[in-house]
Amino acid sequence: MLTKALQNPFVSTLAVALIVVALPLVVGSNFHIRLATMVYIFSIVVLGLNLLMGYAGQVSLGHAGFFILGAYSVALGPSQLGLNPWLSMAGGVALTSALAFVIGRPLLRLSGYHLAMATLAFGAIVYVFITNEVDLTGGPDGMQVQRANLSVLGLSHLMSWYWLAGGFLVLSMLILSNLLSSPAGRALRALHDSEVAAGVLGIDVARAKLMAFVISAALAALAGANLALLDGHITPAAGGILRSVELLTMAVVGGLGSLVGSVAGAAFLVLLPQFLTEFHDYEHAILGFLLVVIMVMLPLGIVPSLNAVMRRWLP
Amino acid sequence: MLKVDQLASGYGRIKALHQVSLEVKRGEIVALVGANGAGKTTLLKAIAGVQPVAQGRIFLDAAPIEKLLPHQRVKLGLVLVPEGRQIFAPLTVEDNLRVGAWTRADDRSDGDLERVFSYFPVLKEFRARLAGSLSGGQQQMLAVGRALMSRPKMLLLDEPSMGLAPLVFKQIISVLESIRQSGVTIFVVEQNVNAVLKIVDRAYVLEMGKITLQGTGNELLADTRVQAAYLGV
Repeated sequence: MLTKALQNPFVSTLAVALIVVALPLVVGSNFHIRLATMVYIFSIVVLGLNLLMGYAGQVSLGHAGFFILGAYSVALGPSQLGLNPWLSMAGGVALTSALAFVIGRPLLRLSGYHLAMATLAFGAIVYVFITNEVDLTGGPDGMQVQRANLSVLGLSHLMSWYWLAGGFLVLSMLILSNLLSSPAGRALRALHDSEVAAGVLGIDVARAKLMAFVISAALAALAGANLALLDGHITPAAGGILRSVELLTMAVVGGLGSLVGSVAGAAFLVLLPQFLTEFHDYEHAILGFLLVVIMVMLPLGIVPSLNAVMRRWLP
Repeated sequence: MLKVDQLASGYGRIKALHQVSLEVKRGEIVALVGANGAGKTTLLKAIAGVQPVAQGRIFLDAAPIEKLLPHQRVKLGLVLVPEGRQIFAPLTVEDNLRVGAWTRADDRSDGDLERVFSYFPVLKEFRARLAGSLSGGQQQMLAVGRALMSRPKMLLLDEPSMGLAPLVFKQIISVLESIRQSGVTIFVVEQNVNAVLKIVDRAYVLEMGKITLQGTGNELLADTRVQAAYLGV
């Protein structure tokens, strides 16, 4: 009963919502609130990536590209077009989704390694473009982002973004939970298992993959916009190839095919380096070692592997 | 209902089917038999749309379908139960069946679910189990049931006996008979020639990518060439 409840996406959404609400009551320091906000922001991207990889079974090494497009949209909208930052965020998510729709059609005809290479190339193109368009984007130095927050509600800049990112995270989980419990979600899981079988049962395989791709790109752009508005400054490095690898690692470590796993993976890779800073030069070596240990001990990722253990021990 | 006209297909430079023509009429149950590698699965896949067609035409109710994508053929009522069953192992039995109802946007699939359960009561008993945990025979029942969920006009079955005990296969064959009586036309590919020829109206024999014989089930059972090649008489 308990294990079943834990696997229900709506139950995990509720649990995450409770954490978002309760955390500010427990931790007060700006540093910790900021870390939590970063976890929420990265969870949003990883949720989308998990929909694409864990449910639809399509790999992407280019999601940092969508992430950085979202981030630069809130930087460029106000500075170049005089738009308000909120409108820029909405516009950035919409434009990035449209871009994903256009490039997704040809890209998703590929699969496996070829798809990984093609998405990697997409991410590289976005990165190079942003780095080289110095007049527009400030190049490698990055650019300022016009301040936007909820100070009208009496919240500080940081707390504004804590609540906004937390709210977007819970909303994203709710939408994905709904999607996954619908026939479309079943179709996605079916197609992950066997594309041929899904096709001969009447599922438009290309369309289902494209849907997952566009949703994941939209979430990546949303998260990127959140990060840029939180930091007030953005550089191309926030969306380099290493970022794509990091996002993919979060999805895999947390657990493919588990929504709450995405949050766990994001939390793990955002928080752990903070605990490891006292090891100075060895920080990355220890982080790498821990990742290897986790993938050996919990091969399905943190959440699905723990679920499997609990199923064995609990009724 | 289904007409295949001068169909050719293959894998790269290797031709698996040479000018195959056959016809299945509404309400019939027709078999395609032949040895391993004769091209039976290639033909079914080409009809379902998951194998490219080099030449020739395929008609469903007189409309050409050879250019349509697999899911578009399903919408026209043509559903394949693929070789090796290809059930969705990580999904529950019920979810497998509901995926089968995907083409019907209404998602009011409860009635169809009950219909499938009436054919295969064991699926009702195991509806909450993961499909991967079922036995081979139960998985084959699930694959047939899943295909029925889209309310097909015509069912294509690829090697339903594969890996099954004779008794279990008999059970599935008797359900095929009831499915036909409910108005679904059936085209079945089989290597278990003896069992399948007994229940079909007509059958074709495919050898090296060509149709070499055709007739009613009983005619073929009595044919000395069939007996020598497939029945070990």
